[in-house]
Amino acid sequence: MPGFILRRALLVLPSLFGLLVVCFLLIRLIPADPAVALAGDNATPAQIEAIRRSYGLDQPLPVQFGRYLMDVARLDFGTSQFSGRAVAEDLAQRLPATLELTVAALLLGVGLGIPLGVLAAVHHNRWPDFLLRVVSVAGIAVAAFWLAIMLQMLFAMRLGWLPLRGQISAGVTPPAGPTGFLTLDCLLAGRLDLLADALRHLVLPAVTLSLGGLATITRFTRAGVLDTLQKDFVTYERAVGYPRGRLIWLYVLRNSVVATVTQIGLLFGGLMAGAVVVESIYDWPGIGSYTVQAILTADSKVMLAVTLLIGLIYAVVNILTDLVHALIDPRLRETR
Amino acid sequence: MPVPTLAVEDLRVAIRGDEGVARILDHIAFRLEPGRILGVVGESGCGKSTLIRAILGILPQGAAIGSGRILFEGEDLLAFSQAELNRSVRGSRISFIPQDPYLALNPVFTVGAQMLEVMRRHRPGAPREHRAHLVRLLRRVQLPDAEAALDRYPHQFSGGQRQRLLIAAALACAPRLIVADEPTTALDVTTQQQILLLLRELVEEMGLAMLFVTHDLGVVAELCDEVCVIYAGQSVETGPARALLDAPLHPYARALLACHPDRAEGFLGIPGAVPSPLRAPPGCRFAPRCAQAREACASRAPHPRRAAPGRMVDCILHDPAAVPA
Amino acid sequence: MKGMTSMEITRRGGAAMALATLMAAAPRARAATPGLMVRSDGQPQNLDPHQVFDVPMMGYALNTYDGLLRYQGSPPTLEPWLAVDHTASEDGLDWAFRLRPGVAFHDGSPLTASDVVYSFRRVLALGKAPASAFLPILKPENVTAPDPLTVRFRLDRPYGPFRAAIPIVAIVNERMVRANERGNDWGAAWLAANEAGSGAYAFVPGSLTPNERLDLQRHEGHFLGWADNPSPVARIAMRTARETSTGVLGLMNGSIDFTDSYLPTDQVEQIQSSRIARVERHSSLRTFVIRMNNARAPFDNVNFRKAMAHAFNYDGFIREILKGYADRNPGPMPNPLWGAPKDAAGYAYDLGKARDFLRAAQAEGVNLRQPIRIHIQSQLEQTNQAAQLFQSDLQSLGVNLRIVSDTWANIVTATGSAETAPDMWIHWVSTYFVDPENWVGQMYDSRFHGTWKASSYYRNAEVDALLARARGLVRQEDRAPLYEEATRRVMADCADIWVYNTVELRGVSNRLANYRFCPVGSGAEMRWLRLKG
Repeated sequence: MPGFILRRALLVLPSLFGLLVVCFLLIRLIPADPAVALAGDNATPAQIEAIRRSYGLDQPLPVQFGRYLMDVARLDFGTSQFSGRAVAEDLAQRLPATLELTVAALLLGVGLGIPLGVLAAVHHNRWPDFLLRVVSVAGIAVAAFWLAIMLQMLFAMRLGWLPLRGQISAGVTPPAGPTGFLTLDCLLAGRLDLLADALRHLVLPAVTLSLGGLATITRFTRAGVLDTLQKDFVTYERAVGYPRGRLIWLYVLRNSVVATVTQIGLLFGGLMAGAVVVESIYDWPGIGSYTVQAILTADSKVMLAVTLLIGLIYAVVNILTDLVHALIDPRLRETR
Repeated sequence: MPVPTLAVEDLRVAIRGDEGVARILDHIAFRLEPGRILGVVGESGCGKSTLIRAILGILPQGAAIGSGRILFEGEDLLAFSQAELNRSVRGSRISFIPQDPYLALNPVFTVGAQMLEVMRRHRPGAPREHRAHLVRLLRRVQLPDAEAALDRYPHQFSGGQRQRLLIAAALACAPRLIVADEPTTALDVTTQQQILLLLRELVEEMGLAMLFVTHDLGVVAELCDEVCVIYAGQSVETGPARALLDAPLHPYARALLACHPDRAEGFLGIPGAVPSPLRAPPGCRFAPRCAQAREACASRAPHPRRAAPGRMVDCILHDPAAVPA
Repeated sequence: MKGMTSMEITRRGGAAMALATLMAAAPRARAATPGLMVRSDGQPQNLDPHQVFDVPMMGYALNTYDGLLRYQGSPPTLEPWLAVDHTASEDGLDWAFRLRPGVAFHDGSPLTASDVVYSFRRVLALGKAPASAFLPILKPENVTAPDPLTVRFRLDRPYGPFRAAIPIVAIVNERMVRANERGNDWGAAWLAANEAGSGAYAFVPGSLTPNERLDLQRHEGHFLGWADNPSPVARIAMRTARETSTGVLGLMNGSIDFTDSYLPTDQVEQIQSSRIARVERHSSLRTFVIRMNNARAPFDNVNFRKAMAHAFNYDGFIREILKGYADRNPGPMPNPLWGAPKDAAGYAYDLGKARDFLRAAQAEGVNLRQPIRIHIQSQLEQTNQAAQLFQSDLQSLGVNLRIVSDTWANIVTATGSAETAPDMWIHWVSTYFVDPENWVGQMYDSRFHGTWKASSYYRNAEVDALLARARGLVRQEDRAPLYEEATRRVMADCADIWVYNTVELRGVSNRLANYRFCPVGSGAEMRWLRLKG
């Protein structure tokens, strides 16, 4: 098993390199000249030229790429051409917020999706199943943007239960570390009042982000459980009197979630993408909104670093998915 | 007369499906006394599995009991709720050995976890004692390396080993009745012999009753005390194994024995096919294939008659009330 | 201007807002934190006022920094600020500013002429956006401090807009910035995330998440004092509402006190009818222009350009799409500004005239069949709405207009040469400095070809000469007639299609009184605001 992880980890490197090459070329296909964006509204051509030189944008493409790779190898992701700040610093500040959001969304999606999927399967072709099928199709079809506004209208405006936007209330000073994960930092600082505030802010974005995933997880769990219910061992387990609750929620479920876990792995990538929209609407200070800004301003160093980061996260999540598979199903432990 | 371990009386089960109502079981009746092995014999599709499911209370959705009783030690199982069955019948007083040991064990749990799941609810004592008991049972069923076996997964065992595991599991809670569903068909011949031998020994040792469902008359001859022959959901003949196998009375039982490779000189099939339970013929269901059928067979309701001591036959030929041709 | 892109309403936002209006009938106010106000109009891309110069930067720097002079009021007038007075030599080359004594930076150290010299030299050395007004006419060594309260400038050549550009330069605390210089960076890395000013509000250290979160607190010792304001805002939370809908909803539930100044016009009525907030509506100096590439066929034909100018439905656009919240502005100069000719009527929507001009153009060999392309800024819905309105009218004239969705960065890159510049594109011209040079000067003098502002590639030697002369004079009364004449000629040549001057719409909580609008900074100078509760 450790050998398997090592092999998989080594495979990540060439994938990330390929990702970088493609991304580097794609960014150069955008006609926007970052130097122009940098120079500002009233820049003279000479100013733009000077900026272009200072950022090495006048060099041939392979030279630029080579330099970039050398920098990345030293874990230097360069400076944002837009803000003038180190990209690594920006990402380090923003990634925890996005991870907090996506993990919360994932927990919601898994925590609700799996039970709902099981319920739908157990009540196959009866009303709970029909209801959940309709809801899960709707969950995939509904635009996150629309849902977000509706949730804001209901919970932030009409009922006034939850905050409208942001990660924490404007009037409070959040703890300054040490982890960068706001909820965790509030907890570590012993500020339960701030933790409650942060959690209240987390609810709507996480619910919005989780919806698509929730629907997918529900569908895959339902299909998996339906499939497992046909198996001989379920008949056997019923015949020898396994209590129904444990039979379904333990013995059947564990056999049914392999496909769901694969989906969860894939979903994580989708959640990172979905975070772009959700973070914009709820003003969540994560990498989604940061990336949008970078694209609009042709900030190539940021785009490359974000691509690399998301690629890396995706790879790690996929390795984790395989590990979870092996944990769930002992047969998979030996084929590796 | 002692209370039989299991007495099935006039059992009728129909299943509503997409194509209509299938009358799978249409009058099944037999008795199983304590300490005996009853072989239930029939071709595939005759309703053996439905019979087992009816006894264990795990009939599929859409199934309805038309009539009859399933008396287990005098209590009608059909009157039990699922919760009651789980509490006091399934896994404890009635245990089950499934047909295919490859498919019957949950692949993602250790065999120990699965076997302990049932014991947890039905045997007093601590998990450690349960474990020790299981290890003793596994040794008894001659499973090698019994101690370590509990922490392994089903796929790490051979088919014969898995069947031994399932037998041990069936014995774990000291049942009064074991329902065995063709437990040897998935195994090779040598292993089959060993398992049959083991079952025989265990039944005698522990003084319990066993309902052994099979399509194999050879196995019946080797193992069973009593036989019940089923054709298309009807129990056509029951009786002591030796007597019945030596001189079957019902035309279907005769034909079935004649087909058996050990006895048949050359292959003699029964002409025609088992009728679909969706479109079962009225009266005796074997009549359309029976060489001795008469007009009255088509209208004769199932009506078993005592034909000899301990033997019941359901056929117009052996019905003194019927007018002989 | 690019600084506001993320704050403009998006198309999907528009649809959602209609629903929002329905459901928000009974908004619930949240108890606001005493002394605190929340702004949702974002923050500059970094905090160094010498690296960035745009609307969000002004919303920050007008509060945290001071300049020698400051624009106040609307139309804006230059008022003494750190400088109590200033003089210019007759030839316009030598300027002297006398500083107010006793001004202190946020760290308590005194602000002297040396800080001013350092600040101007720093702007010139960094060469970023704020430098472009000064680079062509001012060398670093020609900014000097003969004594602690006097700053002298000697220009390379006379430059009329010099005085108008003075407020661009924020005065930074030399001692603090120097202490944080790394290599030759003039403290650029440090000041991008810190503050070294003397303004009415001070940055709260540690409160910065770039582009998301930034807090300011009142600077008790500001040189103007606070005697005029009995209840100033104690603390300002600067936040970013990326979607306009979020900003409006926040205003309506009391969690936001101050939105950006580009509210969608269909939101005005809803906010106005609430008891919790209002919309501040003020004519600005920000023109909406449809550019035409005069160097390329068919736009190299004046009759064709005039046909275009007569084919845009100005009133329909302003009345229907902007709900009347804009002022028709028929020329390149914003109406309220000096240098705008009061007698120039401009072009009116008249498809009959447009047809006549098209015929004339055709007679001169213009191919009317060739499709023309208009580039819009995809995240700025209004540019799309204008293009679509234009497209439908041109269709009735038989002119095929294709709409190309694009981004600011792409378009600006393309405008670098006449060959790559789009046929047409749409943008706003905001106030960089309050001077005709900011509009007619930089848009139509051929010396600026290659910059996005001059992307019409208009070339007229007489206009060039008029503008050059105006640039070389110091006194407004001398310069005004020259700009007026240049503007008349550009309009006669119909170089572009000038549509409107912006009415800025900012949602302001009723907790805040004494809102003062100035086109420079769009009313984001907070020291005047009085906070109730």
